[in-house]
Amino acid sequence: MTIQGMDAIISANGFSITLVGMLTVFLGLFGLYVILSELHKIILIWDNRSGLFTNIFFF
Amino acid sequence: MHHILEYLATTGFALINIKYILMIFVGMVLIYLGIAKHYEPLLLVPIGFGILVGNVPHIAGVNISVYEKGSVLNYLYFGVVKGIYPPLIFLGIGAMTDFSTMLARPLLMLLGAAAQMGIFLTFLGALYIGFTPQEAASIGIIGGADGPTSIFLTAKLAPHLLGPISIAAYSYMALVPVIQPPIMKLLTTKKERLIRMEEPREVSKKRKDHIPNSGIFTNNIPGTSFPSPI
Repeated sequence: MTIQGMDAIISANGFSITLVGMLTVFLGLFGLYVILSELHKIILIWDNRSGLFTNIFFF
Repeated sequence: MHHILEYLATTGFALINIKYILMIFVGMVLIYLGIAKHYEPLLLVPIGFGILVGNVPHIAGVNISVYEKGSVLNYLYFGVVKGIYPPLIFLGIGAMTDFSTMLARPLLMLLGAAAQMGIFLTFLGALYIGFTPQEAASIGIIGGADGPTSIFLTAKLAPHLLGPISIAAYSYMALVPVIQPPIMKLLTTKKERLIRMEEPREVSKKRKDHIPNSGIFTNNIPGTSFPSPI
C-alpha cells in the first residue's frame, strides 16, 4: 500500500533530506562565491610570482 | 483507393492513435518554440525532434523504433539511458555562456541558490502525494529549472519516469518567458521596472578563463567527500 501525506514524508526522512540538501546548495554556492570574489587577488599574486620570490629570498 | 488503403494498412499509419498524435503535437510545439520563439533552441529542437522520432508509429520487427534492440535510434537512445548526453549538453552550454555579469558581481549566485529551493519543495510535495523517495527526487529536480540535470538524475533514480519528467521539465522551462512577465508586473511597480541598471564592471579575460578551475575546485573536491546518493 502506498503511504501518502505527512506519514510518507516522515518515513522517507523528507524533512532532513530537504534541510541537508538546502544547506549543501547554499554552502556550495557560497564557496564558489568566495573563490570567485577573491580570484582577482590570486591572479595578481600569480602574475607577480617572480617578484614575490625575489622579495622573500632577497628581501 | 482500395489499394491505397491496403498499402497504408501495412505501414505505421495503421497503428496511429490519439496517444501518438498527442506526443507528435507536443514534439512539434517544442520545435516551434525553439525555432520561432527562440526559447532554448539548443535544447528544445533536439528534444522535439526526439519526441517526433520516438512517437512515429512503426510495425514491430523492422528494427527502426527507438525501443527495438539493434536499431540505429536504439543505439542513439543508449546515450539518454546512460546519461551521456546531459554532461555533453552542459559542456556545450557552459562553453558558450558569458559569465562576465556573474563574475563582476559574484553575490548574484546566492539568488541562484534561492531558486534551487524549488527542488526541495517539489521533492516534499511529490513525497506527500505518494511517490517513492527516488521518484520524488527525480520530480523535485524539475524545480531546479534544469533539463539536462532532470534527465541525468531520472535516468539513474527512476528510469520509468524519464519520458514524463523530460517533457514536464522542458515544457515548463519553455513557458518561463510566457509565465514570467505577468508575475513580474504583479510584484513590481512601473517605476521600478523603468530603473536602468548600471553596466557591470569589465572583467578581465584571464579572470574569465579561471572560472572552469573554480568550478572544478568547488564542485569536485566536496563532491568526492560526500557519499553518493545514487
